[in-house]
Amino acid sequence: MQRDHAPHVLNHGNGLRPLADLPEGARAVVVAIQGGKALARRMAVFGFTPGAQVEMLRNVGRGPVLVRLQRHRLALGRGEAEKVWVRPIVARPATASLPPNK
Amino acid sequence: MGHCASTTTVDRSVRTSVPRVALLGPPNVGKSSLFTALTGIHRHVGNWPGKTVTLREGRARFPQGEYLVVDLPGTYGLGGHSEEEREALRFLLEARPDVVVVVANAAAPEYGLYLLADVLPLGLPTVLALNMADVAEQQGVHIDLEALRRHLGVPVVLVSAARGQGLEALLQAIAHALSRPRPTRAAPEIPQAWHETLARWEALLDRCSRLPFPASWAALKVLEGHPLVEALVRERCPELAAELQTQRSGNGHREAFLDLASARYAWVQAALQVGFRFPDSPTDALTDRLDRVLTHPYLGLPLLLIVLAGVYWLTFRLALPLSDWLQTALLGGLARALVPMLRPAPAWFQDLVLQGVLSGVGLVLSFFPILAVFFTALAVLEDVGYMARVAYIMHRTMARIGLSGRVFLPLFLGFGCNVPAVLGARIADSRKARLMAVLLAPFMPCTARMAVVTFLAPAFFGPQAPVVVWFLVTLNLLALLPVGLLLNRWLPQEEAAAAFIMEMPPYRRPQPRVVALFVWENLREFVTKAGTVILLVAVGVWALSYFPSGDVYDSYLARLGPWLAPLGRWLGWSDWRLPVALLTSFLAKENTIATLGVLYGLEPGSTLAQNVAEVLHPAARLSFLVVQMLFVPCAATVSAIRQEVGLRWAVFSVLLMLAVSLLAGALTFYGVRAVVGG
Ligand SMILES: Nc1nc2c(ncn2[C@@H]2O[C@H](COP(=O)(O)OP(=O)(O)OP(=O)(O)O)[C@@H](O)[C@H]2O)c(=O)[nH]1
Ligand SMILES: [Mg+2]
Repeated sequence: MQRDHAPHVLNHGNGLRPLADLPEGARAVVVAIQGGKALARRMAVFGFTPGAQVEMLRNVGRGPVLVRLQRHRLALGRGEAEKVWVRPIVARPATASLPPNK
Repeated sequence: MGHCASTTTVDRSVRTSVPRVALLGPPNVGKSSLFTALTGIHRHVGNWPGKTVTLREGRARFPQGEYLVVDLPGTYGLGGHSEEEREALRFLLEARPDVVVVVANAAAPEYGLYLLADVLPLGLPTVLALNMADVAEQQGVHIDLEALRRHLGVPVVLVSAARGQGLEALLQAIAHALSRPRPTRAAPEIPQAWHETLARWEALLDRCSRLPFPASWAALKVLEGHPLVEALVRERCPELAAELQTQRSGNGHREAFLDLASARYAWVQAALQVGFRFPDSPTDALTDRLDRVLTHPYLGLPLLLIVLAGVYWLTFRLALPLSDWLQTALLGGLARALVPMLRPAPAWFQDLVLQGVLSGVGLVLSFFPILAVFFTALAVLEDVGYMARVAYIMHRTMARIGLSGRVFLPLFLGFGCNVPAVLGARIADSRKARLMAVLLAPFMPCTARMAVVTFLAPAFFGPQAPVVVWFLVTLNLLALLPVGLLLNRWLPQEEAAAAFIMEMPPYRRPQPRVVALFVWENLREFVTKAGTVILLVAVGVWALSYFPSGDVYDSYLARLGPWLAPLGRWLGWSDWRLPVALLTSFLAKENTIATLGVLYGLEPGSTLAQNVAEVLHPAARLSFLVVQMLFVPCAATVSAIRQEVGLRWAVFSVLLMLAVSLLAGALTFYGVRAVVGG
């Protein structure tokens, strides 16, 4: 699991991006949660743990986003969505397997 | 099933011989519904997370035995992140229920199972109740209860609180758990990396024998950096405090917590694999489609405003004619019937009945239809699941004043009554957010104030009345922004800004039973209030207006007039009766009308509102309504504020509302007069 204090690991270069940048309809795998203790904990309790799959339902580039996490629909403030780093799942019709994330 | 109490190890709960059963679960899974099904006691239910903010206990009597059932606020974990999570945890730790029933949503069980993973290490007898069995069945979710039971090591039952199904099995499971004091299998594996640290903590905490929970659980929570548990350890075993401090591992807590949460979710996944089979496309197509529209970036807010306008329109359309009829036909008839009966009585008594009691309480009761329509609309909105979307839509606006959209939900309740809005502010994630929500709650135009306004506006403004009411509501809502901004700036900053993360429940058809119950409860509350406080105040105001001489204009109340008249004149009110009426609205908002009724008296051929309208310039009419809408919170709300955040803030709230209302009233009067002339 990537740590908060290794920001060099969390950048767009290695295919990662904040959840807030995920377009509507796209799916992704959670890689790490940035930010303070309180936020990280809260997000983890809601299921944003490394390896969890999310689907972006509503993202208009500003304001809160709506995502689907397993069978739950969640509203997430933009600031919070910016702190969740994900690896988008590239839609490959034949193989729907997850890319490894560790 | 034998009698439960005899088979249990209840030695630690000395307070009751009846076993205590706690309903614990994530928000909106139906805990309160289950509580009602078990105890027959009605609680506020509705389709958004966070309705229940206080504990409530009730007795459940069955042929098989008797339990004390406790309905806890919804919580996602035992981490103590928000007030209701802390409250739930405090209850578990301090009251030590004999059985914990973890309630999960059978159709979306992840969060319930996560909570179960967090609860199991506490070592309390535990039952997993999968509620909403009907929904799960309808969605084609297959659940293998036996496999789940074996896998989890706790009794698992499928129930539907809405249909009253599975309660028998739940009672059996509770009895079973009572007879076996510990779950047979413990919770998720602790990741290898933390074993050593955990063992060290456990060894340390083992030396503290006065802990109300197992040392292993305490160790886990201290490892996670749990403030409540650490505080409890320090309080019970002060000798360990120094060691606790030195062994703390800097930033390690964050990583420990995240790793443990991951482990719990891995455990949840395993349980899902074992016990659940979901249909291939689990998505709720209707909810997706509705959300495309209702949470639309450009349509969402206008739709919300239209919904609100629709609610008020319905109120005007359906309730007002009925209300008028009640006032003229019913009250008038009653008065005519009473006159001959009262003839032998002394003059003051006749006046008391006809002026004090009839025109006071009678007028208040004519609000009945208004409130009934309003509460029905609110209940329907809530039960279809629209409320959670309101939080989403309002988040951007609320974020401007440093609050999250979630905090708008208790405020939204304030449209009904400010008291539940103040109490509901507990769902806020931080102390500051809660305080702000409490102070902003009185800005919400409650039904009592709306009733006053809908009563006066038609006579004041004729066909323009709906527009005026709409303006007044908007003004109240707009006032939230500058006041919120000031409060946000002025109150001390907190290091962690409140995070906005909230579940959006699926939309569904409103259940008539739930709606009817909501309306009934609120109306009953209103009537009991009208029957006691308002009756007393109406009679009291009548007495002040009748004595010493029987002439209103020479009465004690009139003598208050000169004191208040300058203030009233400043706001354009030429008549001293208006500020006096406003003052009595402190006891209950509806009193404005009751007092006006006493002061103006009932005259045949014209309604009270018309009598009041006659003496006022249009600008003054508007300013009166503006002040009325923003005036100091009613006594019930002030007492709720005091209870929630203390006397100091209650006084502050009164002064704040006083200042805002007078300022807004003056601005309205001079502004409108400058435009229309006069
Ligand atoms: N279909 C169905 N709906 C249910 C069932 N149980 C509860 N509900 C509905 O689910 C919604 C939430 O129920 P509540 O009882 O308020 O849930 P809660 O767990 O007390 O929620 P909070 O107090 O917010 O934590 C309400 O609209 C209920 O009518 C059930 O078994 N089946
Ligand atoms: Mg509840």
